[in-house]
Amino acid sequence: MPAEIKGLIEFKKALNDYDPTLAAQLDDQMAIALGGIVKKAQNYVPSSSPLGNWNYRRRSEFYFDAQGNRLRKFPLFNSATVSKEIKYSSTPRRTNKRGFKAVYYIINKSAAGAIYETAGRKNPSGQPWVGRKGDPRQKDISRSNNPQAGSDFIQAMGELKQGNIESSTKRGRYMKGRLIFRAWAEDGGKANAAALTAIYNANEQFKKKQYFRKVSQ
Amino acid sequence: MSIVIDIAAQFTGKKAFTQAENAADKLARNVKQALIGVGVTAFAKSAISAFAAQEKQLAVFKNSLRSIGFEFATSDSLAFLNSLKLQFGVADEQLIPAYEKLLTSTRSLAASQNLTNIALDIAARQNITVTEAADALSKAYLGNTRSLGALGLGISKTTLASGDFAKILKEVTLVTKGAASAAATTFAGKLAKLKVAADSAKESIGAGLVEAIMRISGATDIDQLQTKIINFGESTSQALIRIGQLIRDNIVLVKSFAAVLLAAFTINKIAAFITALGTIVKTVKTLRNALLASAIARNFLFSPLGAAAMTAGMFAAIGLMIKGVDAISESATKATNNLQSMFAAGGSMAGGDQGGAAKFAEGAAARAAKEAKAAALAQLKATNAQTKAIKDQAKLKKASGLLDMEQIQIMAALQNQLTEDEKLRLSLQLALLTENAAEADRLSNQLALSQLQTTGLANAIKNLPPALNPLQDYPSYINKAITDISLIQDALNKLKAPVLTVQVNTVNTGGGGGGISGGGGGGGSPIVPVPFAGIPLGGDIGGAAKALEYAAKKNQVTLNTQMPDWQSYRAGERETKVTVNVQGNVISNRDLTDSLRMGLLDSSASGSFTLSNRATRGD
Repeated sequence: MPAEIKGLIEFKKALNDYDPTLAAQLDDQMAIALGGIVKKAQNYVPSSSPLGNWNYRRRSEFYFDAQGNRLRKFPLFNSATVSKEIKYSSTPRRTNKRGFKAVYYIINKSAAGAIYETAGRKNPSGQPWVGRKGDPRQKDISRSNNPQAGSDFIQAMGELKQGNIESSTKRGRYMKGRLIFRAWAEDGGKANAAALTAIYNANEQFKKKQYFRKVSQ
Repeated sequence: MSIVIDIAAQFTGKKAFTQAENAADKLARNVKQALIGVGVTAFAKSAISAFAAQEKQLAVFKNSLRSIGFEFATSDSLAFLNSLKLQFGVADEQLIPAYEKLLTSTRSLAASQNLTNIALDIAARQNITVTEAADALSKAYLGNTRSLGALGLGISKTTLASGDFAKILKEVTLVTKGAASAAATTFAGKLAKLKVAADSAKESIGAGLVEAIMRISGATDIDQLQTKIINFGESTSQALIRIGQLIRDNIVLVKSFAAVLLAAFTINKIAAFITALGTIVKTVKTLRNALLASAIARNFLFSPLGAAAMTAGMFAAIGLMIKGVDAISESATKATNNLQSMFAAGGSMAGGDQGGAAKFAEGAAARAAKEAKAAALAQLKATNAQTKAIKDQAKLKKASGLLDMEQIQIMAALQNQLTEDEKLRLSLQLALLTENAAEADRLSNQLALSQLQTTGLANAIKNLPPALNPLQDYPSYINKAITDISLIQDALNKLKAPVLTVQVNTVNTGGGGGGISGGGGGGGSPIVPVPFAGIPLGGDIGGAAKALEYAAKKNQVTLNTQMPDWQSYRAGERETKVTVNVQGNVISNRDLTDSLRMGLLDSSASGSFTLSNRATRGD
């Protein structure tokens, strides 16, 4: 299970409002704790695309289908962008469907980075091949001319690494990946522990300063 | 889609109940806005508007009651509606028209109040407004049941068609009873109740503001106030100085508002993070942004009512009070002075020097912040002193407890041998004396349990069936036995046992026989006296019985015993003499028979095989 910290959002707000120094200190500690994983993950980004034709080149990113809908093309792999978009964040995300709002997290934000990270996680031999007749808006089919395209693509990406299940929000295949999950797996939960300790310590320091007072008193 | 590893997350609620939380947030925001930033003026305006709307509604209500001859019941009706409002969280805007409609229809206070309650139930069950429900009920009361039927309460058409309102009402009550109470206990119901409380506070504040303005201006009614307010610009600074007085006068209203505000914060879980310093910061911001900004200063001059400025001042003071309402109330004079100093240069503001006003505003903000900080420190000191005093008091009480005679007696009593119940009672008494609430509660529970158990045991014993006494009937047996013995004794005493002389004539079939007792002599007939005692118990037992009968008559019986001749078969083997010697107690025929039989058996055993064989055969 992830670390569910009650009142974390309010705590962050309170820190920012009443003790910006402590807030900055916490941010520094989080940077130390999570920055290592980010760096490591960035190092795993290949300098060029694993597949020649997937490499980034200047082109239009969109196209229009027969009905005139504007659709996005399959994103190209740009090593610099992928690397740049791997980061940690302390800006709360949107509440997920299970009711949790992630406050501190590591994110692989770019589309190409996400593809490289997770390709083959759900379908190790590629998505079911349909060919050109398939609906371009359907995301779980392969529309390539080559029925083996998916399989080839995944093989070229390399092995998926299993992330650390115990210290994450997700289980099983959802913790497999090639960049941040790989770095997370190799870290062995140390970063997670460091991050939580930092939050705990900041909270303790904040309480010691007696900023909090029960309303009923 | 981004790929994310969550490090730390917070559960903020699923979509299903975010809606409810949003309602709470909204409520909290609304109240919060009263103190923060630009919300101050807006809240003041809305408070005055709410008050005005309520005033208007009440006036209409009073007028309606007057028109139907129920003017005397206005205050009672309002009290009733107020209690309903707070109980079920229904706003005045719905409740008053509903009640008014029902009272107009029924012309009965009791009926209208009863129907209002039912209307609340219907509204809660069918998710409609109380006004709609009351409208349907009032129409049904007047004979038009269509609206009530359309509500879909499941009332049978027959009942509706009958037009019997009592019957209809019975069915309606059966279906909807308790719906309003149930709805009021839900989260939404509680929010509604809170909202009603907040609205009430808002209206009260609005009332206070209007009243304060009237008092400040010396106006006796609104029209007069209007005239005076037109010239308000000239007297703005003086009026602002009197805000302090206004706060003091309305401190109860302000407190109630603060209470509502805190309740709202508690719901939104913000409560845990409200801090003393935070409040100061917010207050300073409020003062700077909302109260003393030049835009508001301009309002003083150009607003026709000037109310915005007045209310801004009022709520800036409320902001100060959030961190310590009581502290402020105790030093209302100080607060007045603060405000006086803040607005001391009001004349220049009224003069329209906006730049100067802005500079003054900054200075005043700094002073206000300083004062607020000082007030907070003073409050902290006062709290500490109070805590210390309470602790000292507790110590003194503890010490005085050592000399308390009642306690001493209880302690002494506890040293003795007591039952568990008595010990509990004494301990409880001691806990009550020492005001140890937790211990008293625990002991009272234990005592109650013990009492229950004891009572149960006593009842069980009481209800037990009577135990069987094995000796209960003993005397009767003994008495009966004694009686029987005495009867026997009496019977024995009455008996004069005759001495029988039994003469047995032995028929000698063999050679010459000898006498019975004598040694011989041939053919004699010796008479042998047989002692006989007892009563023959009846039963003709052959010749013996006849002999007894005969003896009773003549007291001497000669018994001829015709012995069968079967012995002749062994004539040569036995003596010709037969001696019958009856011994022991022979009471009955049977005894005699037995004696004879035993004699015969003895005789057989001594050599008469035939006799023995016959007996064995059962002949």
